[in-house]
Amino acid sequence: MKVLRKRVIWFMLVALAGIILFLAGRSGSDSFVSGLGTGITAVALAKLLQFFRIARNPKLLKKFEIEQKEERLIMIAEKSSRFTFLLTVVAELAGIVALILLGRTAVATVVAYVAALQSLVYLISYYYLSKKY
Amino acid sequence: MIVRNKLEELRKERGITQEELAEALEVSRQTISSLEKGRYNPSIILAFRIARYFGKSIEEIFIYEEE
Repeated sequence: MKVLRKRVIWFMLVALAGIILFLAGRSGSDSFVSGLGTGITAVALAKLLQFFRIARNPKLLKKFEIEQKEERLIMIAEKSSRFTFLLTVVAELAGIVALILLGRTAVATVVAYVAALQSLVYLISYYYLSKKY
Repeated sequence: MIVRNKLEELRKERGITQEELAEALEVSRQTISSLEKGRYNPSIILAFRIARYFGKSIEEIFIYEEE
């Protein structure tokens, strides 16, 4: 139940962020932002409905809690995160080269800072985790 | 290195399904399936839980082989 409660709180915050985006988009007449807000809110509400259904069914609740603590699924999620991080950094580096070639050096600099920050976070967390384990 | 296991053999000896074993070990049925097929090696904690469930030692269930 503790895991489910945390997920409910998280998706409530996501729904709230979606509503804020929707309202911000509407007030600024930006259909993209309001559309994005609607999408985020809809997904968050769908997840919340799913969680409430799980909370009412003990069998589903047990299955959900096992899935959340499941070591194989955690390993899959970690591997997926590693791959996503690697792909993001490679895409950023390719983007920097492309932006420089297009003469958009200011944007390239921003992307380079983001890539550098990501690498820095990686190094700090690697150092911290190597001390911890 | 290869880690083989006798999980499927032991489970069938006991006459239990993957679903039942998964429920007893508090893992998903897919994890039992992956373990039996040798696609996934368990953590030491799960290996101990499996061994305890079958009343055997880890070495009796999991066989470590160097290539």
